[in-house]
Amino acid sequence: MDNLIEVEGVRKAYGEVLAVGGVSLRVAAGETYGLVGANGAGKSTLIRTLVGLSEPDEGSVRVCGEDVRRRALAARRRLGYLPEELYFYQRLTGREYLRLVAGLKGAEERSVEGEAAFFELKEVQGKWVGGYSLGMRKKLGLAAAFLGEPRVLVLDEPLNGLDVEMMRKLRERIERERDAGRAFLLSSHVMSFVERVADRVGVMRAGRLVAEGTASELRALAQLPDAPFEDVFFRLAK
Amino acid sequence: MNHLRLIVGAGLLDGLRWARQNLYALLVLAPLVLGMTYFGVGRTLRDAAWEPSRGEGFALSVLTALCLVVLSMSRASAEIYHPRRPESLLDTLPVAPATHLHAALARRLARSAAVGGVAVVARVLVGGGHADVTLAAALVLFVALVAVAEIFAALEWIHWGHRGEPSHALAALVLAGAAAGAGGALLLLIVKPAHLSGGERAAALAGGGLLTAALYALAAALHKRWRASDMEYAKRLRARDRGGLNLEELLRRAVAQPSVRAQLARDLRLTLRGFSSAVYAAAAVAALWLFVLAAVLMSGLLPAEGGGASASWLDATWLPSVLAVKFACVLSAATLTALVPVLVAHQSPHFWLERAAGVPGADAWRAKLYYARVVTLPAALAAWAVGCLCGASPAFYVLPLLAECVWLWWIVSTLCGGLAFETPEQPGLAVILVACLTLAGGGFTAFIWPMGLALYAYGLPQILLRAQHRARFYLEQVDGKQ
Repeated sequence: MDNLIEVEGVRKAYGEVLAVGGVSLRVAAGETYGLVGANGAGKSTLIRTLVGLSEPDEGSVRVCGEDVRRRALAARRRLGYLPEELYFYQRLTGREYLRLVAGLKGAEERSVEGEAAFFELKEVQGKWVGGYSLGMRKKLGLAAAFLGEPRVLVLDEPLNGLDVEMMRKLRERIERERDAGRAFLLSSHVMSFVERVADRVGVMRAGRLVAEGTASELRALAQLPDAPFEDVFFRLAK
Repeated sequence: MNHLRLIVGAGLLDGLRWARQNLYALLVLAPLVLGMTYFGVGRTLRDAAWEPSRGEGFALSVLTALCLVVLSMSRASAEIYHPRRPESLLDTLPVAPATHLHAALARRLARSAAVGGVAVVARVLVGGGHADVTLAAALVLFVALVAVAEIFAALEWIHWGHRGEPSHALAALVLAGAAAGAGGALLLLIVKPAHLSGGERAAALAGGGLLTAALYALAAALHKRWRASDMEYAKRLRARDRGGLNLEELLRRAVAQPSVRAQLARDLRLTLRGFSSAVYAAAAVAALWLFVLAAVLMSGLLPAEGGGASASWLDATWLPSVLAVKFACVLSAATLTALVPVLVAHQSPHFWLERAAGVPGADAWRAKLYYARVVTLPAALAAWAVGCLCGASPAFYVLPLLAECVWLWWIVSTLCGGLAFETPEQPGLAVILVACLTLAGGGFTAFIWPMGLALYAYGLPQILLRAQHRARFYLEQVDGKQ
């Protein structure tokens, strides 16, 4: 199976503080990988390293076989990313923003309409983004990430602000895209979502990957076969 | 190129829509302020007995170019590395690093072009002569050189903070100094070409062109090399540990009411951390008044002092040099008071905190009054110190002059603090209002200090009472407006 994401011994420290300590992981084509951990566990730093926003002190990251540091543009052409914190041009409309992203990604302009429709932005895409609610901003960020049919999607906290209906739609979309051969790496604090959507889950603690496997493997590791996944997480992450 | 067009186009559209939202400020306030400045400064320049010599003109031009480069470093670095800006997502898209640099350069060029426009107006005001090819060439080179120097300085500034390599910093300082020198020569060529001979003009143009090309090539190479590693440092710059002064503890004895103390500490902390570029601009202009005071006192521009050291106690207050110190004190303090309306407008979206905490309007107003007093006090003390160091005051009048400066500070800051909530949603208008009133009240008191007592006794109580009600009204009605 092709590995679309390859993280090898990534280490990142900010002065004395170790944010990520020697993490290695792989995500194959047609696989969804869930990254979980408490606040400050190093998930977002690892993700930022993965998408090229942060340079690791040691180790390497490859996306679709392209080194994120050495062949950044080639790697980014295959990548869709939803950051945890979203900053938009306040006075561009949703449609204008998506067209900008499509233009920069080299995506077809008609895909803008498709993503806007899927993420239920049709009615508001003519309005300035500054007037969007948290949920609408998140949908806009998701639509931008999915634009251009990237082979790898990295979604940092994709559920914040989404309503239940959109959460369900997003899960179904992820499953569909995964079955089409895309790779997903997503980070979330909603354990039920992660358990349901992720093929494998990595648990991070203090910058290290302390456990990795399918939901059932993690249950076995935590010796909590019938407990909610939240309890499994607590056992492994604390 | 297509990527650059898309990024610049998006920024331009966003900016144009911002302008549409601020039509009142752009079409009414800006022409008003610019017109008043044009006629006021123009007349002063035309009627001035003093004309800068060639050396003074060059020094002023170099200082201006240096200020442009240094004051823009923070903003330029944000435009290159996009911390908490809409362009931050673009760093994860297949956009070449050079495109980010060129987009930032385009923004810098637009801002430098505005400065170039001001320089052309200054040329008209000082009778610099008709437009010619040399002016056009100097203008283009000045705009390009300043923009490229700002980008270069910003790259070096971030890299110095990240890596702290002294050799690099030293080389950057030398190059930035050279850019300021060349920029100053070009500026002088635009504003007052008569100060330069034919050979010097050619040298300024050739040197400016070469330096622009060299700085651009250097900035492009350094950006390509450093972007990946410096980007994260630039983005984390605002999130670093900001411990330091325990302002609440420092204010404990000075301010009795806890809610006023907490607000004042917050306001001072925001100011120390540069909540707006207005902080830097106000501080720079306030310092400029003191610089002008020192220049005026040292250059013997003031009329001869009748009594001088032999003047009596009562006469000393009207000595030209003493009056100059007092007016500089008023101008400098009034400049810093501009921060009060800007701060109120900056906090406008966050006043829910005061409302939710049940802060009385009187306390909110009092916090701003104390804030005005704290931020303007250094101006008064500095004006007095500059005056004393330049020998503006006879020895026996040094302490009375300090008392006069303190009195002026009190009047100016009280007037400004009292007007803090007068037009909270329109800081531009509030700055004009505050400037007019503080300059009028302060100038009047500077000339005849006992009149300040009358102003304080009869005028201020009404203003302060109104101010308390305005603050209470504002805190109560903001909910309905937002």
